[in-house]
Amino acid sequence: MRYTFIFLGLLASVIALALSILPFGLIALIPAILGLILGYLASKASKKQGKSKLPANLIFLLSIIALIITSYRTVFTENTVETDTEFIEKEKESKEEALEELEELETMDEDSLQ
Amino acid sequence: MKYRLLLIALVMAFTIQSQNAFKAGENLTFTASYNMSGLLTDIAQVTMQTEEVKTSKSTLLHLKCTAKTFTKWDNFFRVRDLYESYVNPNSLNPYLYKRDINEGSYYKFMKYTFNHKTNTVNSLQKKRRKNGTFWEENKNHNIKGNTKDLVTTIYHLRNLEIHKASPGDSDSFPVIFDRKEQNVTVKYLSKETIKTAIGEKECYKLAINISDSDVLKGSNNNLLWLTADDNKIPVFAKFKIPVGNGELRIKSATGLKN
Repeated sequence: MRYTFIFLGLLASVIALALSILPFGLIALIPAILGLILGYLASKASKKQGKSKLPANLIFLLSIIALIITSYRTVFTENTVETDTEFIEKEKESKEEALEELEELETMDEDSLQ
Repeated sequence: MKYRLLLIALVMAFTIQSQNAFKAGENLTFTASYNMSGLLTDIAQVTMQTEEVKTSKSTLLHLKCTAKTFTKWDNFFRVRDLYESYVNPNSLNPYLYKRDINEGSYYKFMKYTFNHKTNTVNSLQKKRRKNGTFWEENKNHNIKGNTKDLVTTIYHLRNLEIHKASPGDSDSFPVIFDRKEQNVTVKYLSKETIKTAIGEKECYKLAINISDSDVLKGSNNNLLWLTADDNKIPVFAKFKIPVGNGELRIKSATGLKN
């Protein structure tokens, strides 16, 4: 049972760490909390069997790092959109093309005519 | 002749009164969030802008919606969507609609040219093949007289006289989307006061449903909150689409008419 807790705990904490670095927001909290629970169970099982607590401590460490990174990024990282010159140019071109096409249209309602 | 003039005056009065929720120069910014395993994650910025444009013969209203993923997402899944409609500023009848979708490796362009005299729409669809080349398809469609595109319909909703409606009342509008004419049903559910980034607002809560379409899922899963004032600003929306569900929250609103 100890090995199962260690394996699952390590898996959860590594996933949590990976998700905390990637821009997935709070989703990393799920494996991080799961990692802490499994780390606790692994620690308890290790104590009962008189074996090393090192793997359980590693699970705790990775999960806590994931929790810190996720919390920091949630609180301090602002949602920003880059100034996309390519997109701005596309918007301009699209408008220019549209105006050319609208000039050719002869089906306007009378109340939009100047 | 006298009756004819009276009728024209009445129609004019109704038209002017009905187009009172927004004006050219309005700019609304939203944050779009997507539900990932029960946790909402902010993914993109959505904007809705209005602008007056002039051709040699007419003055039109340019309705523009954009969706851009936040910088942190750009390396994983970059979205740059542009939806535009050029409409009559009074009746909101669309003349030209463009949809330019750039989502990851997926690209799609759609253009509708409306002819309100013949009640037809000419569509041009452009897609990118896997090898990077494009293919185009032109089609003609017959439409109802009051059929609008998606962007215009969103703005049209803001012009509805919801204050005269009772909870449970509903209305339907024909919309052309993905080259199919579909019926959008809007049901007024209730009045609700919600907290938003632009203050605490009393809102009309509306349920939106598209019949015979997979665009929006469920009958009461797609909800829109419009402020219960003259501007009828869309401040909050909950949506359920085939690939999941999410929310749209207002971030800022400038250039309001009222």
